Amino acid sequence: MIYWIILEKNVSLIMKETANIIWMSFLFSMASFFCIGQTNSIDSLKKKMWAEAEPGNKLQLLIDLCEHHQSINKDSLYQYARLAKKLELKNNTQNEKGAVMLILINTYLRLGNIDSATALVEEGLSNNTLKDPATRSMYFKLAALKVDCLGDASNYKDALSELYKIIYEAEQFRDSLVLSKNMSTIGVINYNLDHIAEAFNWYFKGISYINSNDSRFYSSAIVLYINLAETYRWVQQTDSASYYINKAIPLSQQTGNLFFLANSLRVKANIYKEKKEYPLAEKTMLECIEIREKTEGKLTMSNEQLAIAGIYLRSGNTDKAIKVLSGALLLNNVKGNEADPMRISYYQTLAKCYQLKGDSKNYQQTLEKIITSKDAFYQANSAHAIAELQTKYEVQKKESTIIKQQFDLTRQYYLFYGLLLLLLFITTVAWLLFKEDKKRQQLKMRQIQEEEKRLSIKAVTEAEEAERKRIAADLHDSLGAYAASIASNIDHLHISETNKGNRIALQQLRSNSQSIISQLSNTIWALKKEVFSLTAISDRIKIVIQRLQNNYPEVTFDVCENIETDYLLSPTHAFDLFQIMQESINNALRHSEGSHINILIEAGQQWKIIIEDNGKGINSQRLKAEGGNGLTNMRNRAQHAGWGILWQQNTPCGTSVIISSTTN
Amino acid sequence: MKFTVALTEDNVINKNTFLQKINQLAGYQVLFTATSGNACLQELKGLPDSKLPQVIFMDLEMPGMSGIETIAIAKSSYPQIHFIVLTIFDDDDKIFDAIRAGASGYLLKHESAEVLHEAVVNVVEYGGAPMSPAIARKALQLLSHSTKEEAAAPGDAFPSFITGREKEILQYTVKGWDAKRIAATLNISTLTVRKHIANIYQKLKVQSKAQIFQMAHKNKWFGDLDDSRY
Repeated sequence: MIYWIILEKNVSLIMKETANIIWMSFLFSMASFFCIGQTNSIDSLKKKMWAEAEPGNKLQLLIDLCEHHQSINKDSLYQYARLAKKLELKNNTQNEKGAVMLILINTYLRLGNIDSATALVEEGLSNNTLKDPATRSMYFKLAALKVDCLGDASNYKDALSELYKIIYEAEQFRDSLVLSKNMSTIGVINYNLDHIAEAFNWYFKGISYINSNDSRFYSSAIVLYINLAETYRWVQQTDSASYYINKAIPLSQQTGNLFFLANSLRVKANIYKEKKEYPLAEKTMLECIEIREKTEGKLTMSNEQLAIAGIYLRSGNTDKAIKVLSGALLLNNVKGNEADPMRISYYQTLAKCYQLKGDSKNYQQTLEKIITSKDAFYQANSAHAIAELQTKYEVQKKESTIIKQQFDLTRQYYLFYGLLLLLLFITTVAWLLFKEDKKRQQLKMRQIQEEEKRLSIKAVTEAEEAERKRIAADLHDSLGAYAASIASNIDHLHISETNKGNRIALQQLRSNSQSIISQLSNTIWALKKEVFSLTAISDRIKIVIQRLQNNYPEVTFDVCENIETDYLLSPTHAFDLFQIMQESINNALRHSEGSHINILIEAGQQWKIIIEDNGKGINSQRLKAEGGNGLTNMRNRAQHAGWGILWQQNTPCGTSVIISSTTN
Repeated sequence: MKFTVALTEDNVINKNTFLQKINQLAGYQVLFTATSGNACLQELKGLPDSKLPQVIFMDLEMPGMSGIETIAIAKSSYPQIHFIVLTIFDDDDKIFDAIRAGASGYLLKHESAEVLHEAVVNVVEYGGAPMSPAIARKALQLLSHSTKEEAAAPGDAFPSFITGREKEILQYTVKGWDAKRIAATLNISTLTVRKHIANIYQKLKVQSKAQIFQMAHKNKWFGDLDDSRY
């Protein structure tokens, strides 16, 4: 991939006019100067690559080597590209396909084969999309190469259009590397279009994306520093120019990129020249030439040579300048092109030297040569063509301005709608948060109210519980104790009493006192607990049965429990159920004349209690007749608790009292 | 046979009624009456074994130290004394706790002197009074979870696991059957049934002092007081 570096603007009018037209081709020819530009790393890679026999490894080494394509001779690069393609086809690997494609495109660009490079770029772009994260990096590389192809064809309009597109896409994915590199390129185009302020603007935007701690950014950073230095030099701000070139040189040395280093030294020499520090300018430019010649061989006509001659001229050392320029023109006469703009620049500088020296003869001859060369140049590039180029340039300049304005407008448009959307989003979020907060507050309030209600119910329940227990304790300690005392005293009297009437009265007293104790016991039992299980009620009924058994020895009892779910009843309900069961058993004993009473307690989905006897049974008339207070009380208790109760005549004999948890 | 008994009851009427019933019975000597758990323990303190009552009737709900606490403490120091809990109903939850603490049975407060005598004879001669269905149910639940391995733990003076026969008797008791009916069904004597019930009472008791305090703490017999008080 080629980095766009500014070639200094020539003070010569013709060169200034043509610089913008030829600069791209010159840029590539600069890169081709590194025909044998072997650095240590290149030499090492070359050795390893040639020594490697395994095709896969060899291809990988070749790819690594071609990463330094700027510093490799273009003919060698072409050979490497061919070898790489051959190895890729042989290996048939997808992984290296993209890398080989990049080598080929760079090689075509170096060779000036723009059409082939463009075709390959288009093919690559059709296979590598921005949306796919796996191909995004390749997409950006190819897009930048497309800009190089367009730039090489002097198509600034399309180049800028592509660049703005890349910038927009890279901003979406926050790809700092792509942004810094391509912003630098936009800066170079603006510099060439004399939009100096805009050029600075883009350079600094590019700089803002540089991460100086990341080596992947070094190349972008060097190019930005060189371009900034050259642009500052051009606007006579030599201090700023020096500042940036002094940053570019050590970084170029660090990366070992001689292309960057030579360019940095060239810019530095020109800064010295502007500052009229001619010895330093000469020394630096010679250093630059030395590096160039080290990699390119002996330079004939070159920008560097022209620059050193310019330094000699400005420092008054006209003879030295004449020597350099004449020597180069002499060498170039053999194979040079008379219409070469570089040659015209050489003649113009040489003419200035002769003029300053007062050598009118050579001055005149040189002016004649200028005319000849210009004629050849104009013959090759007719006035019409030049005018067309000029018009094209102006049009491109305007179009680039329009594109830029469109880009700015698009950005503003996106910014406006983006802000609008953001505002809408913030408003929605705020509204949702407010709603959520309100909901939470309401929920909290409801929870507080429920908690207060629960605490209030708990307090009431606890108070009721305490009161119930207090009443139970009072009954137990006072009434209970007195009743037990009465029963005990009657027992004592009963033993000693001999009078029949008194004995009957005592028996009644005894029975009554026992009933009081029994009722009291039942009441206290029900008052002492918060809840009663069916099992607890069943156990209490069994005790009742045990006591009754003493008075009814001829009757047998059975309690059958089938309790799957042990339902819990409130004290009131437990007392009601116990009383109903007790009353049913007493009724069976008193009225059924049966010999067996069975109590069945079932609890599953619902609970049901059946008290059945094998006595004479009960009919509706009897039920009505015997439905005194006892049965009415049982019905009332069941109704009050929401239970069902029914009396059933059994077959062949007996009665069942069925109490169930539902009224159905 | 002469029985020596004592009473711990805070209610004066109940105390008088109890003494009245005892006075109806021949061969009984009331060694002392106490109105609180602490007073009961004070009465026992320093008494030679020969002067200790055979049976102490214990009210459960008294101010200060409860009847259960008093039984737990006294039983660990005087294992030979039988404790009968005085209650107003047979299925009071506290009766079971009292049995675990060391009581050998319970007696309803309004029961006659004859029933009182039967209770004394049962605990002194057989080691346990008749059992209510509710207590039998709880005993069945507790003892059925014990295993032979637990019973074999060192320090256990008595196996805590339940035998097949005992289980049967407990199951019939839960159904509400009395000793006579159980004996007839199982074709054994009433005496044997009583002996089995006495064994069950024994198995329900917590054996060591440490276990008593652990149990007391678990069931909050001693309220929130620090165990170190005892």
